[in-house]
Amino acid sequence: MNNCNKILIVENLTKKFGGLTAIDNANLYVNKGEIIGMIGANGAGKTTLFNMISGAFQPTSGTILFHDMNITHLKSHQVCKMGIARTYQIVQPFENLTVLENTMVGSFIHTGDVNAAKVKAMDVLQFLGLSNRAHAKGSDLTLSELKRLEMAKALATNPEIILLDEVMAGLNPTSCGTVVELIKKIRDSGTTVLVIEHVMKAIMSLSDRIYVLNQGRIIAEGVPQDVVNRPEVIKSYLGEKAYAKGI
Amino acid sequence: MKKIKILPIIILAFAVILPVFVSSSYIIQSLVMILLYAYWASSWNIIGGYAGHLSLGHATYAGIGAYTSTVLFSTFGVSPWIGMLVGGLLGGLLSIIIGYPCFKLKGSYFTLATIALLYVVQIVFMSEDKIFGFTTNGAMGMSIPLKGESFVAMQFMDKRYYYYIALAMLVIVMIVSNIVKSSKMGYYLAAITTNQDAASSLGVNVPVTKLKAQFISAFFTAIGGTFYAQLIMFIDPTRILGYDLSLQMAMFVIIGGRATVWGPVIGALMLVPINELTRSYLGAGQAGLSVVVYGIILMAAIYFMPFGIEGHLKKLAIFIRSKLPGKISQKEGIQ
Repeated sequence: MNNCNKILIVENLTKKFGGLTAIDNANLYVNKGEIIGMIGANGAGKTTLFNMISGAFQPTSGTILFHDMNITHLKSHQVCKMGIARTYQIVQPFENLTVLENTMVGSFIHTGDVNAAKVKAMDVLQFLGLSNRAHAKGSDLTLSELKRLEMAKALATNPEIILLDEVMAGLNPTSCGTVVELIKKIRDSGTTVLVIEHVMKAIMSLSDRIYVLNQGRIIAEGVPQDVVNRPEVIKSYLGEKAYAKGI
Repeated sequence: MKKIKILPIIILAFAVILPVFVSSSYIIQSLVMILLYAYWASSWNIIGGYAGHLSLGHATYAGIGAYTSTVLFSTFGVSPWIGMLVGGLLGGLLSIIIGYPCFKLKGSYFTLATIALLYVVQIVFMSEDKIFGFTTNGAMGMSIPLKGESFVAMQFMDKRYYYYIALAMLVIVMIVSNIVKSSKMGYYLAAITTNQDAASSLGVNVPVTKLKAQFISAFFTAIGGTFYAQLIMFIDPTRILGYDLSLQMAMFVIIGGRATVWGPVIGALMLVPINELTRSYLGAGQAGLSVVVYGIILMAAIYFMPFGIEGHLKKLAIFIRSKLPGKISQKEGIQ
């Protein structure tokens, strides 16, 4: 894999909250067109990592390179303009706005024209199968729709990389299946995807590569089948005892 | 869509011809006050409604506007029309200086900071006879030098001139308000109101967007200050730089309907007369009774219409339209 394919490179990234090290010297890279899975127990630091890449948190040390540009210290709105968009694990709709207007907030990034923003937002909603809910208020949606609205807002900014933070959490298996298909569709439309997920079945079938986090450290990296059979991953997920029993 | 646009034109036409039929200068004066408060409320609405930041220090900008034009007029003989714009720009500039640190605060802390800064400015104007070397007379207040009937000096014997100036100002600020609401900025402000972090991660430059709204809001508020000075011909820090005035601007918007073009106007239209009437009918009797009654009316309005009168009027209009004979309601049209 040559270097020019790596559109995002994270080097020696560390984040400390007081005495707690949330992310400890993380190194990772993302190739153009990949779907990267991030797994790890609760509190492993997955969302913290997303927060730093998207500019919501400033890292304590380390660098984040996007197309060889240093974006470590950019603010989140600047990172978004560069082409990295994110969704939130806890959905954050603008409750006073409709689904369409919510999505337009994202699509305004490349235009000042209301009609152009509306057209772009409608396209995104169509793509995600939300266009029939375009005029519903953000506060009237089901969880499954809210998760898709999160994706719609982020996609409307035309990102090169989209960071999806647990877009399947709390959904039933059917809805999960829909989201898996959507994520594949997003990748096929040319957007690179980083996804945090607990639904193992989904992440196994989606990801080209997986990073495993445990207590702020990246403990494994590689293709899904390979990674989940590694001792350190089983230990971190199921505990020493389970590993010893050979489950 | 076109049908809806007729109503504002009818209202405007009514407002334009209204003074022709009114001869009492007391009523004209009251109408001017309604227009001025509607104007101030609309200006406040841009930061307090669209951006959702409850500023209770907006009299600061009204005061800056009033004092700037009055000092320019009495010291240098500059026409208040020019002083108005200078005051507007100074008010806008000051609002950026105040807004930059205050916008880092959230919710009630922001509100408290705006009140504190208002009192700082008020106390300075009360205790100092000269501000930056210009005479402002401290707590005594300033009278605007009388020039007789003069357009350049913005002084008129006939109150109707003030009426038309206030009406023009209100129309302009409503147009600006409508542009802000229906543009990219309006969407960004609405997003900021509910969730700043989520807005920021969608590429919204939150501080800059808020400062823009703050500048527009303060600019128009300050222009209203100049108009007030020319109307009353006297300004003093307790009134034009007062907490009461700040509170009124916010109150009319909250009662009328936040983040709407018509809400502030409806609020002022309802509350200014109620305030006047309670004062003139109850003010002479038991001391403070008028304030109590006015307070109860405000409480009832907030209790029964927490989202403002504007939304209820809209519902009423839709209801009436659906009951009108010979017209197919929109629902039936779709079916």
